[in-house]
This record gives sequence, structure tokens and C-alpha cells, in this order.
Amino acid sequence: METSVFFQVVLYILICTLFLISIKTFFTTKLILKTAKEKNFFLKKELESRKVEQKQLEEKNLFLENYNLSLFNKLIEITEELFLIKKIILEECYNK
Amino acid sequence: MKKLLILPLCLFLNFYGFSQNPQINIDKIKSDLSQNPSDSLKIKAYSDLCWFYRTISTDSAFTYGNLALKLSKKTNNKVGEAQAHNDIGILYYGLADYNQAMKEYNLALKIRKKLEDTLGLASIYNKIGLCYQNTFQLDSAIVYNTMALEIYEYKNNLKYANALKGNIANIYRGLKQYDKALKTHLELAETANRTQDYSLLTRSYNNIANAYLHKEDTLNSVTYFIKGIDVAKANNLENELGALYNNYGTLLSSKGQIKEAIDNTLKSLIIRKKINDNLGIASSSLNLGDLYLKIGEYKIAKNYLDEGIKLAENFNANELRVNGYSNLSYYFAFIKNIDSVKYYQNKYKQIEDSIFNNRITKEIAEVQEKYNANERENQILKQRAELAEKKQDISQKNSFIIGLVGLAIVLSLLGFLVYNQQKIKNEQLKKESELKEALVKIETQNHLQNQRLNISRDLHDNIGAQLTFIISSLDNLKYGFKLPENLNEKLKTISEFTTSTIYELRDTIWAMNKNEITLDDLQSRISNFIDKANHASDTVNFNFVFDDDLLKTTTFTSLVGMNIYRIIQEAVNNSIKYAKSSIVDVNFEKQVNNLQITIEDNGKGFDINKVEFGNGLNNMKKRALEIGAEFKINTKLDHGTKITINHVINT
Repeated sequence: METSVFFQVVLYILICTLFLISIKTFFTTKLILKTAKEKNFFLKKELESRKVEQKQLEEKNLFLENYNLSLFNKLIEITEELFLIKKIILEECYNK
Repeated sequence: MKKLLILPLCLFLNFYGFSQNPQINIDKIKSDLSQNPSDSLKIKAYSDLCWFYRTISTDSAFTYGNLALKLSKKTNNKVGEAQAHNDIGILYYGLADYNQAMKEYNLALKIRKKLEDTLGLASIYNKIGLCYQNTFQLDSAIVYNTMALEIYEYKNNLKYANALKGNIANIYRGLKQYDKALKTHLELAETANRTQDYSLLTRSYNNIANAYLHKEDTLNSVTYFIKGIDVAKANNLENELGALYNNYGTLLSSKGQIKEAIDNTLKSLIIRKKINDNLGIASSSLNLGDLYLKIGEYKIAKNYLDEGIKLAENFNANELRVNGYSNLSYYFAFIKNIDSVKYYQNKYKQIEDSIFNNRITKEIAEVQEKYNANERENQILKQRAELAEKKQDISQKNSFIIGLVGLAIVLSLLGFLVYNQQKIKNEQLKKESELKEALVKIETQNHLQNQRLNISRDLHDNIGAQLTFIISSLDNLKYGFKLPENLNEKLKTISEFTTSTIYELRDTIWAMNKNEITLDDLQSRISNFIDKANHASDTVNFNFVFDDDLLKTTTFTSLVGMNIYRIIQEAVNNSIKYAKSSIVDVNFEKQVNNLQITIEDNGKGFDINKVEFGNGLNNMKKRALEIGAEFKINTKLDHGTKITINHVINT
């Protein structure tokens, strides 16, 4: 009889303990979910900002590609003109 | 004396309702039978004849009872068969052959059980109970009477239920449990008084008075006898009145009030003779004989004693007989008739031995009953203890099972919660790693793009320095040497082209060094440009209007900002260079979700249909298209030009 009562007491204490652990697990899970949501939110936000940055850089590089081409053309044009002037000056010196 | 009281009382209780004019009923039934009725009616008639002959001729009663039984069996009439067994049982009961009576009752019981005749069953249970009561098996008597009582109470038949309660109380009295018996009779009297059942009330009063007598409470006994007599008189209940007078007379005699006792017993005798109650007559006569002997009236006493003994012998009432023989022997002693004294004393001895044996049997039965009762009580206690133990055991087992079920549920719940937690953790880790991977990938790409941007910046710095060197060299050449006029002109053109290239390069570097251009930045850049233009040409009046409603926090990407700046620059240059304007207005205006930029001049304008678009106008259009803005030109010859750019902004 006493053994049976002892086992019952142990059983009900075990149930109570497990129940408390269950409650703790439930709330921990909720906390994990909340933290995960926040973390995901920040990561997504950062990803978005990186994407925007990437887009801007791509645009800039594309623009610079064209611009650099036109700049080189202009430089060649200036160089051409300078060679022509050099030629004229040298011709004038020889003629003298 | 007490035994004398009990016997007539029991008989009176059992058959109190069936003693009126039997011969008339017999004649009537016989006349009905002569008309040859149906079998079922014949059975009923035989059964009724058996009942009515019971008090007149036992043999005739048996004959008709057997006829009813035979016919019932022949016609398979189960109701009739049960009734016949019941009637025959009553006859055997009347002859004090209780074993035979019980056999018949049991046969009737078997049939009525099959027929599910509950009231019939209750009646049989009652009669079996009486048999057990008379054979001193009082425990069985109580069981059967209780079974009958339960049925009558269930059927709400209060009359029979109350009679049974009275009977059970009498059994308690037989067991010498007078308090219990008295309590039940008092309850019954209260019920009878409430329901105005005066027959039951008088019987209850009689029983209460007898119970008090057993408890030796003479005062209360007298009170209840007188009460009973009053009620019986008022309601003309002769049967009950006869018994009450007789019992009261016995009480008075025991108190020495002989004269009053004779009066009451005489009254009892008269009433009993009137209703033809033979045993009652015997009892009252013998009592009177005893009372007259006590007062020395031997002759009168002899007459009463003879009458009483005759009836007692006829009805085999031994208790009455022994009383009668004793009194007769006293009588013959008074008249000095020795032989008769001897004769009656022998008879007395003989009967008294038989009664003594009966008493011994009763005492043994009572002791056995008590022993059985104790044993039963012990057994009940033991069973109760076992039951309680079992109950506790079951309760503990249930509690254990509930606990195990609870444990299983809690374990399942915990398992599910832990599994769920792990699942969520894994999902989160997967998502997180995916996002981080994407982030790393983009960062790597951005790093590469930044490297390209840096290379471009280095290149631009280099080219800027070279262009500045070229301008400086050209200026030295121009002012250090005396060159021909055409060469100076050429040098000026190259210098201007190089300067514009440097400006363009600076603007580009400005835009490329910023991640985003605010409206503030754009405004100050344009203001600088307009100021320079103002310095360059005194004839042109520049107005730059900036809408205060425009949010200063509005931002553009560096590419958009630079393209807007270039469009404005081109438009202003065109106004000065080609349109020869005196006023140039630049407006920044906020519309719903748009930034509207207008560059308006009062120059010579042009016919948009006739003039072919040059590099400047095409460049402006192309730049607007690149940034997704709307580009409009409104111009008329000699009416100035208005260029409108609508660009969607995010505020």
C-alpha cells in the first residue's frame, strides 16, 4: 500500500515536472520564433540595401564604360589637334 | 400470558379482511356454477369456494382448491393454476402445516414469476414470510416480508405496505427487539392517522399497547388500549374492538382489577360471537373462566371454560388449551373431584410438555437466529471491510492509470514541443544561411564593382592631370611664342575643347564619388553653374527658382542627379549660345509625386517641325529617357523656348 502511494507520488511529481518543462519549451519556442523573425527581417533588409547598392554600382560602371570611351575619343581628338599644331610650327621653322 | 396475547393477534392480522358471511357467498357461487359457465369462470368459482369454505369446512375447501388446480392445468390457465396453489397453500397454513404450505406457495411463486405478476408475487412473498415467521425462521421471514414490502411500496399500495410493516414489526417483537417494534408501530399509527386508515390505526394502537406491556410500561399500555378502543368504537371496527377488549381485560386482570377485567372480556366475547371469530371466542371464554374462578363463581367459570376448551380443541389451539386445562383442574379441585383434577392435570401436563418442547424449539431457534444474526453481521462487516479495501484498491489503481495516461499525454506533448522547436530551429538556420549566402554573393559582386569604379577614378585623375598640363602648355605656347594668327585661333579652340572636357570630367567625378545625390546637392551645383554663366555674360539675366515645398531630403541616384544636371547645363548653354536670350529661368517645382524642372528663355526660339535636332537636343532627350523622365520642348519662332522634365520622385 505504502509502496503504491510512494509510486503515485513519484508519478504525479514526474507529471508536474514534465508539464513545467513542456511550458518552458513552449515559451522558449515562441522566443526562438520571435528572435528568428527579427534576425530574418534585419538580414532581408541588409540584403535589400546591398541589392540597391549593387544596382547603383552596376549603373555607375555601365555609365563609366560609355563615358570612358567618349573621353578617350576626346583625348585622341585633342592629341590629333596637338600633332597638327606641332607639324605647322615645325613647317614654319624649316621654311624660315 | 404474553403468548396468549400474540396468538390471536397474529391470526387477526393475517386474515382480518375475510370473515364475513361465507355461507351466502358459497350459495351464490354454487348457483352460478349450476349455469355451466366457461372454464375460466369455473376456475374462478372453484377458487372462491375454496376460499369461503376455509372457515367452514377444510375438506370442502381442499376439494374445491384441487378442482380449480386440475381444471387450470387441463386448460393451461397459468393464472388460475397459480391462484389454486396459493389457495391450497393458505389451507395448509390454516392447518399449521407450514412445510406443505410453503411447497404450494413456491409452486405459485414459480408460475407468477413467469407471468411477471408483481402484485401476485408480493402476495406470495408475504405468505412465505408468514410461514417462516411461524416456523421461527425469522431472518428468512424478514427477507420475504421486505421483498413484498418493496413491491407494494413501488406500486404505491400503501394499505398492504403498512400491513407488511406491521408484520415486520411483529417479527422484531418476536426477536424481543421491542424498541424497534415499538418504533415501527408508532410510525405506522402516525401514517394511519394521517391517511385516516382507522382499521390500521386501531391495530397499531393494539400493537403499541402490547409492546409497552412487554416493556412493562403499564401506563402507556393502558393509554394506547383506551385510544384503540375509542377509535374502533367510533368507526365500528368490531374485529379490532374484540381483540382490544380482550387484551385490555388481560391487562386489568394482571393489575388485580378483576371486575373491570370481566366487563371488558365480556364485551370482547359478545363482539367476537357476533362476528363468528371462533379462536377469539375461545380466548375470551377461557379468560372469562379464569376471571370467574378468581372471584369464586365456579359454575359460571365452568361454563366459560367448557366453551373455550371445546373451541380450542376444535381449532387445535394448544396455548389456549393448556390455559383451559389448568383452569379446569383448579375448578375440579374446588369442587373436590380428584379424578377430574388428575385427568385435566395429565392433559395439562401433556399439552404443556408439547408447548414446552415448542418453546424450547422456539428458544433454540431464537438463539440460533441471534447467532446467525451475529454471524451475518460479522460477515457483513467483513464484506464491507473487504469492499472498502477493494474500493480503495480500485481507486488507487484508477488513480495510477489516470497518472499513467497523464504521463503519456505530457510526454507526447513534450515530445511534440521539442520536435517543433528543433524543426523551427532547423528552418531558421536554413533560411539564415540562405540569406547570408546571398548577402556574401552580393557583397563579392559589389566589391568587384567598387574595384572597377576605383580603377575608373584613378584613370580620371590621371586624365584630368594630363588635360590640365595640356591647357597649361597651350597657354605657355600662346603667350611665350609669337605665333601666326590662324595658329592662335587653333590653339584657342583646342584649349576651350580641353577645358570643357575637364569640366565634364569633374562633373562626372563629382557624381561618381557620391552614392546618392540630394536635392540640396543638385541645387548648389546648378546655382554654381548659373553663377558662372552670369559672370560670363552680363547681358543675360538668370533666375533660379526653387520651390520651398520640395522636400530637401529628396534624393536621386548619382546617375539620375548627373543626368538632370547635364540636361539643365545643356539647356542653359543652348539659351545663351543659340537663342540669344536675355532672360533664362530655371524652376524646380513639386507636383503630386513628380519633380517638374522647367528651363525657359525669351530667346528667338525655333520651329520644331522645321529644325532638325542637333547633338545637344538629342543628348537631352537621351538622358531624360535614361533616367525614365518625361521630356518636352515648347518653342515657337521669336517666342522663346520652354523645356520641361517630369521625373517621378520618392518622398
